[in-house]
Amino acid sequence: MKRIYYFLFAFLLIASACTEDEKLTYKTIDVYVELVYPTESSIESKNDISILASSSSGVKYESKTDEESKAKFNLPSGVYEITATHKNVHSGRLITFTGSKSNVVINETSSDLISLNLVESKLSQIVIKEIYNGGCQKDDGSGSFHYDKYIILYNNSDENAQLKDMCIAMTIPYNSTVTNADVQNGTLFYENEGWIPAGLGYFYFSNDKELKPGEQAVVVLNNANDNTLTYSNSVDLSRSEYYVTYSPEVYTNTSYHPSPSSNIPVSNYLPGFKYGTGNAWAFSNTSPALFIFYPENSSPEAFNADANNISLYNGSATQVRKKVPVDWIVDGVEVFKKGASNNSKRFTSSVDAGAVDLTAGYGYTLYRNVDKDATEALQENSGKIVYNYNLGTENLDGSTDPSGIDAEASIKNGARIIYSDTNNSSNDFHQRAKASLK
Amino acid sequence: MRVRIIFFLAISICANVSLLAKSFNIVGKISDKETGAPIDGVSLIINEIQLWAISDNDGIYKFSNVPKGDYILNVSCLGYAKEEVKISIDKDTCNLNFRLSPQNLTLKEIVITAQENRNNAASSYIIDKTALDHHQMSSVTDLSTLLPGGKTAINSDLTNSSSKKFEIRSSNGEMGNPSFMTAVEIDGIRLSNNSSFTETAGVDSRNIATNNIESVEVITGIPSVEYGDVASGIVKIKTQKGRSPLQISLGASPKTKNISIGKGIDLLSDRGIVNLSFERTSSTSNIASPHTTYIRNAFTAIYSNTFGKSSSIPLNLSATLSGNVGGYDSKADPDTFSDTYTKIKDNTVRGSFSANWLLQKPYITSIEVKSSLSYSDKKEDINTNKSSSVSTPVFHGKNEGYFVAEDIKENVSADIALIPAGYWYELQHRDDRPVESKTDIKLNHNINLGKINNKFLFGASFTSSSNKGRGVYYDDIFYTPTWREYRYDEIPSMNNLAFYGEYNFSAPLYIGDIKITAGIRKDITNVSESGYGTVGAWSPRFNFRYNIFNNPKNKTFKSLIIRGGIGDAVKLPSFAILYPQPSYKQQLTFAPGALGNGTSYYAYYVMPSNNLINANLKWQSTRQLEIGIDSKIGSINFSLTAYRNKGYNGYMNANSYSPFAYKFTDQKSLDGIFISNENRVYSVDKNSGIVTVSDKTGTYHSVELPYVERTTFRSEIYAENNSPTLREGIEWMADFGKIKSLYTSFRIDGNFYHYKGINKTVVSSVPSTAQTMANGQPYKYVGFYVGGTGVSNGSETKKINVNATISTHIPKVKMVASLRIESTLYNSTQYLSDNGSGTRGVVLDSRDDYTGTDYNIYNSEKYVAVYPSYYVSTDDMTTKIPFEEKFLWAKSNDITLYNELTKLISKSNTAYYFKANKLSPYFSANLNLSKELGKNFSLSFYANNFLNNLSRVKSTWNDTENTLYDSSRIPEFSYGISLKIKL
Repeated sequence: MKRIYYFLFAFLLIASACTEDEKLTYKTIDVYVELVYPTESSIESKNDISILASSSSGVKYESKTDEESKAKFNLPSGVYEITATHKNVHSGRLITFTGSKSNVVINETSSDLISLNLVESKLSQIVIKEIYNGGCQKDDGSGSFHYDKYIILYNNSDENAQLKDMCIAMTIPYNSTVTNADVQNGTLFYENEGWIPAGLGYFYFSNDKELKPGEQAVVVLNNANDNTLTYSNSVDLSRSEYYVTYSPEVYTNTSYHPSPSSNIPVSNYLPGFKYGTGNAWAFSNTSPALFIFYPENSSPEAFNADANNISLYNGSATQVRKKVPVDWIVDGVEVFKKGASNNSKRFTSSVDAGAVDLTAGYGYTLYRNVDKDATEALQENSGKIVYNYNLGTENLDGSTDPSGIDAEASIKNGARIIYSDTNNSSNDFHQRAKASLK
Repeated sequence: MRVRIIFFLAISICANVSLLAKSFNIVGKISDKETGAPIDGVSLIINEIQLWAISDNDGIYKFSNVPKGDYILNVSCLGYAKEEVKISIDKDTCNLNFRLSPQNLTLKEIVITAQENRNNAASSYIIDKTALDHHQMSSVTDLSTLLPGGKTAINSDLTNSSSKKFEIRSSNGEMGNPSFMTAVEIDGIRLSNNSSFTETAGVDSRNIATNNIESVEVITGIPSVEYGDVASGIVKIKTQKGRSPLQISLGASPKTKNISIGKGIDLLSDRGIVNLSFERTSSTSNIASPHTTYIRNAFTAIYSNTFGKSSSIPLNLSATLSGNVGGYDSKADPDTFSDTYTKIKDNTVRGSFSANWLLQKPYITSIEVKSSLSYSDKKEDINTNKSSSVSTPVFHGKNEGYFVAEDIKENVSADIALIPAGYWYELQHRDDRPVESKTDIKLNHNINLGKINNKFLFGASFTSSSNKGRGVYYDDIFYTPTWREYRYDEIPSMNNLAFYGEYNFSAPLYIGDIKITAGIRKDITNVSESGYGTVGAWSPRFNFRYNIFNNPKNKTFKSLIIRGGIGDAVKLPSFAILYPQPSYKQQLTFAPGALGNGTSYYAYYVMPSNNLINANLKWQSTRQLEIGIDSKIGSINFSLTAYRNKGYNGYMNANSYSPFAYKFTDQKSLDGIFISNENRVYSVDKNSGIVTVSDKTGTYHSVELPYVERTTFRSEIYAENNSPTLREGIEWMADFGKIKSLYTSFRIDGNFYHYKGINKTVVSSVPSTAQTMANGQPYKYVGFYVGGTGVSNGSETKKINVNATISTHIPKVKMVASLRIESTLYNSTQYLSDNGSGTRGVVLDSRDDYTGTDYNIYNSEKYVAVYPSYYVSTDDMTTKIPFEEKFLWAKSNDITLYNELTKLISKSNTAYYFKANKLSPYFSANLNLSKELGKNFSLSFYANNFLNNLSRVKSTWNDTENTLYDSSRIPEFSYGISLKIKL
């Protein structure tokens, strides 16, 4: 729905450009249009916002707001539709204020101040594009290797996105296949309290990193080295552009957190906090619940230092969690263990209404589905989209991307992929046969 | 009472010589009841006066110098039913003949249950071979089921050692190392686990053969002072000694297969008898994958002979060589990855020599010398498959200081080595070879004063425990994980010299008689090279048995006995307590980026942790108190014993902490270094910790990296004693006699057991390295807890077990069948928290809380938090800050401190943690059947929990019901059959 506003806005801009000469033939009236933001809105800068007034004959007028959110129009008498769109990027989300008022009569007796009420909508810029956590088979047949986990963050919006202060967290329970003590009377007890538990600790981007639309950041969770030298089925995670969660004083376990490859600059290390007990940020091999958030009106450091936001899993003094307000969360993915009968949700529906199944240990990865309509609608993608996607695992008791678009091949072909983001991993993810970095 | 004892003692000594003159001879013949053939080698014992005799080739036996009096003569011989005869001697007796019946199911009376040993003043039970065969025990610990209120073993297989340790009047999970308190002997050879470096627990009984056992005596009460190094109960196993036919036994159950062969060979011409036996038992825990096994190949060779059978001073000699070859092995299991396995040897060899010389001198009645030596090989081999895509730092150095990791291929003796990325096998050996030796000399002196009898026992005992093992080592130094050699064979032995004296007095009293035993034992333990020096301990013990009346002819009240005792018993420590393996802390101080092959040259500070000597360490002991009553009313034999054992100074290990500062060099310090990654060489000053980066090529100057200071803790381990424990209970047995028309007898036995243990020893604790300050730096506080960091520091158990045994014995068809219903009528366990002045915990309003105002933890069904009593920080290790007061202050005034102090708090994980866990009653039914086929064959069958009880047990703890299936409450459904052949 939000995209309709963008298209409408673009269309109006184009239309208004064609009507410049018509203004001179009629008597005009000075009118002020004032944008009225929702009371809870925290937008600071409200000037220089375009407001459009469209006459019944299709003529469009544009004016920009001043410091007081007012725009001055000089309009011929008539009936107008007045619209405005204010986009603002904040905490990894695209916050859009839209307002529309129809049948506005402008004449000499009408009021010279028109209030246009704006409605706020938020859209995540950054989405978790991929989670590779299940590991792969070792070459000697002795089982699976699973210290090669990574995730990919992707700017799914049309605006540049800033990663600084973005935090990467997981829930406790770590695995979905436990009797979840948070479920009380059939529901997660924190659903009504509006928060999600961040278990053990979290990592965060401490430096500026801007992702352009369609850009991604690989964050290595374990073992930022070339794992393929030992495990041919694994992934080379030693590339210099990768980020790595590495805080050796906090998470001391060198199996989970060995020193990253020297290819990766120290500036790409994501520092971590820990408030629970553990020498490793033990991201589940089978069924994690991963989320990313920005501490709004706070900071990763301040959020960690705040002792008032603690939640103890089942009252345990060692299974310590932080309460992350749902409003802070820009994306979350719930993973269930494939075939398990006791999978239990950890995310409330506002974060992830579904879950994606994973069969761990065979090199499979969880990959976000392509929003086919949106991707195809981008003119820049014309002729660049690759179809006939064949890396789904539907024949291996897994799943595939229903769009049929091979996202990675398309990206290599120059296309910008818009991924599905319906807050429901059942619809938004599938199990891919191999890691996209492989 | 003390005055009377001294009086009788004085009288006895004065009258000694004159009374000896009034002594008589007893001569008789022993023959086979069926064939009439004389039986040689029959043992005849008059316990009251410590005289014994052995029949010769003609079946003739002779007692000399028997004082006038009434005695009980015990007649026993391998393969024959024992006889116990009351004799009155007031003249020479020439024809006291006995015709012994062969031991088989045609006997009118056979015993398939544990019988109270009424010759012993302390509570003890005898389980003989008929009972052992009938119950087809795969492990000697299974005989515990026959004790009052005993339970059939949950698992019948032998793959798990922990369930095959004796626990007498105690239970697993309690304070005071329950199984460690119980002593086990085979033919007088003490089995000991004192020289174990890995556990403070009792001996593993799996290597003891079961088919060649003649009888087992379990002393549950206060033992004679000749028994030391024990705190609760003695199990005395007696193997078969004497002439016997070739005996073959074949047994099978789904998890266990067993074959044994044994024979007692007469060497003829008075050259003695050799008993040889061999038993092979193979057991698996999982019948679906029976590749992981425990194998027992137990052998026994016993030579015994009595010289001078016809003389008045016979000498009995016995020499034993026994042992086992076998152990646990998972190598054959195809479910495991190629070449990965665990093998644990259970090889042992025991040799002993004993001599018992009946001297019958005025100043000494007999002398016994016993010496034994056992050597075990418990080597453990664990081969695991390893792999890593990056280099793995491993720590081998024992030196303190900063070290940079080195490639192990370039320096195998590096303090910190790097195992390169790749695949490898890690083969770990634990060479554990305990050696135990014991020598006893006992002098017995008997003085008879008419009907008053005095016995004196003086003895000395020397035991030595050592370990000849190499400890843990690895097959390949290049793939050795973190390890520092700690050789067991370099640890000095623990030697114990004990002296003891005991006085036994028996005399008629009114219409009955009384027997009193009083003794004292002094243990002098030398562990001088450990720093503990020489430690001494006294163990006084006293028992009495008053036979108020004994009139078998009375139709109703046939006998009544009251008995009781009080005594101390001291348990020597294990090597795991005296010599805990030093631990080392490795603190990461620098982690440079990894090279392309995954190699990272980490730097660490290595901190050795030394073992502290606790000069105040006391030897663990138990003060036992018991009183009992035995009676026969009509056909009902009844026994009731109440006991109260208070354990003191149980062994435990604790840690002491001291602050330590080190330098940490962040990778960010490498920013701006021009030396390329490939050409960097890192070094660290061992003492200062400053990291220097040098250029391999020499192009750039070396650079010292900046650092930050951090403070953490080093720990040192020491042995400590925990607080007293209380174990008390009541044990009863009631044999209701035989209903002759139905060939059926009925027995009820049971026990009430109460345990309470609260550890109030204050120990310090730092949260593990898995816990940090909120800013990521090492945690800086040490908490001091009463009884440890656990939510509870004790527990209380109350249990009532009642067993009913119905046995049908039909001599004519040579068959005996028994049905045993085992019930647990009451089973309550409750965790406790006590710091001496109240509970250690506070009731929380919600599970996310850390504070509360209600301290009545037992009456609330809410979460509970436990605070340390006080804490210190690295800033000031001497000022002890009361925790609760400061914590509550911080909650309102310093939220950062509050947040950090929460990490010292332990919390219950349920709201019902301190609620009593009472279980609804539960039962199991076990069936045993034995049938002899002719004279040469016998068949036995058992079915444990044959109804496969799937009932549910309700717990008041969390108001849940759980099925008994696959629980640890009743034995698993199992069955087995065995065939015994005599040729």
